[in-house]
Amino acid sequence: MSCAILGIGSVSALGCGVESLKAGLAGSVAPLIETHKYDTVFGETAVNAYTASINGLERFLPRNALRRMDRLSQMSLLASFLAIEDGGLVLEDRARIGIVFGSGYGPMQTTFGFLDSLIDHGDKLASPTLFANSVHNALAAQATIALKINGPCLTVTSFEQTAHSVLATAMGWLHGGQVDYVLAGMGDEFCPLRGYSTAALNRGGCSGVMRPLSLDRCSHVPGEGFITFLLGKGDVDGSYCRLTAATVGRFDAAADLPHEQVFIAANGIRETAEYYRPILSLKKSVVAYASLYGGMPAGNGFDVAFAALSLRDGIVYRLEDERTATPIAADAGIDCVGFGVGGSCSIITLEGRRPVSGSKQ
Amino acid sequence: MKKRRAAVTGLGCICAAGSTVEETMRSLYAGERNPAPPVLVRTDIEKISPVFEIFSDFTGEGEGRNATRTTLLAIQAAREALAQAGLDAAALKAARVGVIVGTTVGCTLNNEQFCREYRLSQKPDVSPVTRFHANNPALHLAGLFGCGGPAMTVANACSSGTDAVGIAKHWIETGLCDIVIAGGSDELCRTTYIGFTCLMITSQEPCRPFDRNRKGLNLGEGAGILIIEDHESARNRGARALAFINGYGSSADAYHPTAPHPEGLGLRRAMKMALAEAGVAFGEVAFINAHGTSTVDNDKVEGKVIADLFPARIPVVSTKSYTGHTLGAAGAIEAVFTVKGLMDRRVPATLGFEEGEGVITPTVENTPVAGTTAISNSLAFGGNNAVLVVGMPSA
Amino acid sequence: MSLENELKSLIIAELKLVDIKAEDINDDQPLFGEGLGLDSLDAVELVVLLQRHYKIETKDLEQSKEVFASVRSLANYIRAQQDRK
Repeated sequence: MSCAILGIGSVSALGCGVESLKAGLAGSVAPLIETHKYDTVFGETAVNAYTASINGLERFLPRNALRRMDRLSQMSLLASFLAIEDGGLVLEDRARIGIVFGSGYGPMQTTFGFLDSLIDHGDKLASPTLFANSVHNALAAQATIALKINGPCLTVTSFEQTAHSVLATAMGWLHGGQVDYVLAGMGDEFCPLRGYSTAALNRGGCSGVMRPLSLDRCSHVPGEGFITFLLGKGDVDGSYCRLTAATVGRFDAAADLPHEQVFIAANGIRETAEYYRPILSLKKSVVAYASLYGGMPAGNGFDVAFAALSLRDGIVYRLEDERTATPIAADAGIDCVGFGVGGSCSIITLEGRRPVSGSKQ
Repeated sequence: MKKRRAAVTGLGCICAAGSTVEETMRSLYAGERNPAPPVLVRTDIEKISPVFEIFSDFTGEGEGRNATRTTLLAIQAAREALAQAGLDAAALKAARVGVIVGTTVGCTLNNEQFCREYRLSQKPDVSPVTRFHANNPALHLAGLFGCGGPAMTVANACSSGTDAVGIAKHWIETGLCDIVIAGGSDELCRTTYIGFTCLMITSQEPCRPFDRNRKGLNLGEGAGILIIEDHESARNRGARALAFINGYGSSADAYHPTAPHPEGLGLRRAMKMALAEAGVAFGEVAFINAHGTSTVDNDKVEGKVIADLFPARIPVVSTKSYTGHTLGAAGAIEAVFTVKGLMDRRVPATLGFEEGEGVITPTVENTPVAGTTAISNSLAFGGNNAVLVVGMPSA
Repeated sequence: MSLENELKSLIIAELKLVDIKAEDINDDQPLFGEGLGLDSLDAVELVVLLQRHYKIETKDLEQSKEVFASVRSLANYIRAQQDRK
């Protein structure tokens, strides 16, 4: 029940568009990281955070259509427009396209914006627009309107299982025949309250520089961004690769990884670091890219994009210490592994396109 | 290979109308409701809209001090449903069990005190953030019951509960799981109450779905959980199929952030999609559990679509007249009611309704229903439409 | 500044209208639909605007359609309400 990754749209601290991810891998672009200061009970604490650049939405929509959209909505919409553009398809039957979005926190900044409005003006005079935009599915709703998509529309939120939930749902829809294409997107935004929470929870004990493979120390740096995949059925010429499986469970990931190449979603959080240790001791090639996109619950969606790029280009980059590039076969597979705080594990598997032959179904 | 079917083997529900499914159904068939000014919510808004709050004593004993009311409601409904399905901890550990729960409040960090203290530079304690992390409804239930399969919280606003049950059906049919704990849960929340008031869609009188003089909705709270199971594996362990989830349709209006499409285009598509999936004709539907929020816009659009697509005499009920609008839980609670309506061969009256607009007339008394298929509608903010088709086991 | 112009600036600021200036809005131009293009969500935001800035309560949107028709009708309504106080 595999499906094809036809297009990728990315908005992150590396910039916009799928080539910004490629540039991040190759080292020609560094992520934008800003330092914020918070007053906590531990004193003034500096927190580094990845900042996404949102550029070019005006290319797709009149500015007036954006007037009520918050930052997370704009990120998700831009990523989705870019995914469709990247796919290069003319999408005709809009009722046969589904949208499934996911985020760990939802529009948190707008949620607090609504609280601000009722604190500032009183319960009676809080802003209805901010309330409407504070619901998790506001982004997907805006996307259906802007992209004129009438198929199934779903928003999910499962912290570290978010990317899995999004992609498994998309695969289910394609497999079940409800749709021909799916826009599957996921991401989160940084906001001052996330920064403050990071500062207060870290107690200043975090290095502030993401070292995802150094499992012994906290190196979490909060991040933001949104990644959207345009997915279609089967194995399609011109696609990046195939998405062949999305599994989740409380199993021993180290024993269950089918492929030699593994991308882990370790992101400097001590609570989940131990779960990744057995994978590092395998005789496999293991990489982690959270240092390119920053820490966020739905961040492993970016790992899937990096895996798709690696299979398209036949190169896997290692970032630790010295940046190295090693070739990967066109028909190889990559397992993207992510752990939740409770120890549940998701494995999202991508495989290179099958060599073109007459026997294709 | 034989097609896998999504059987319903257990039901659980808690809402203002009752703390169990049986208690709730008794209230419904007795035509009893008790909307009242909110106790959980304090506000300086003078024009009070009544709410459907749960006053029964549910302490959530042994469920962990950090659990939120939304989580506790979900746990209580899940325990009831699991008991009916005859599933204990050992059985859940042995099977591939997924959890899918819809919510709106349960996935939102809207802690006002935290926000106020932060604004005043009072260096608030971050325990609301850690509590928020521990209370994602699906992840919490999966952890509590030791379920190893997918755990997904649906945040599709007011259609979340319906979407959760519909997706559970697909998880069973595609073989992703053998058992799914599916439903929705939402507590009454001050932020939501204020938000709905600002949007001017709450009524200061008890709601009256489909009535020409309706003024808006009343909020409620609760949880509904259904145990959805692969029919064959349920049969192999001796569990009875109460009903089947035979169809699920979902469609986006792509029209407006808060208003439904005036012609209900998305709802029409979702209903057709759900019935097509179930292989059922419009004329075969025994009754419709309508979304029926009692807002001006929703009931106008939903009534029009139902009148266009279905035979004139089909019973239409809005059970929100007993539960209030329980948001992320609504679709799940109403899926429970839809199953019970088919099992009991009757649906309750739609309370508050006096005079229609010449489009549809909902039930005005307990109404007998004949047939083996019923549907449940949900419409949501953002233009989501979700529809379930429920069927009885053939004799 | 006239009440009409003040309202225009408030509407632009609070409804976050872009690429439009107060002087671009005609006093009689319809606010909703084909005119300024406002929608039902803007309508409830306008209710809040009237309450925040002019202490005027709107009870029922259906019954206030004529008041919310244009900047002029809004201004006339505000003046009438203020005279009553």
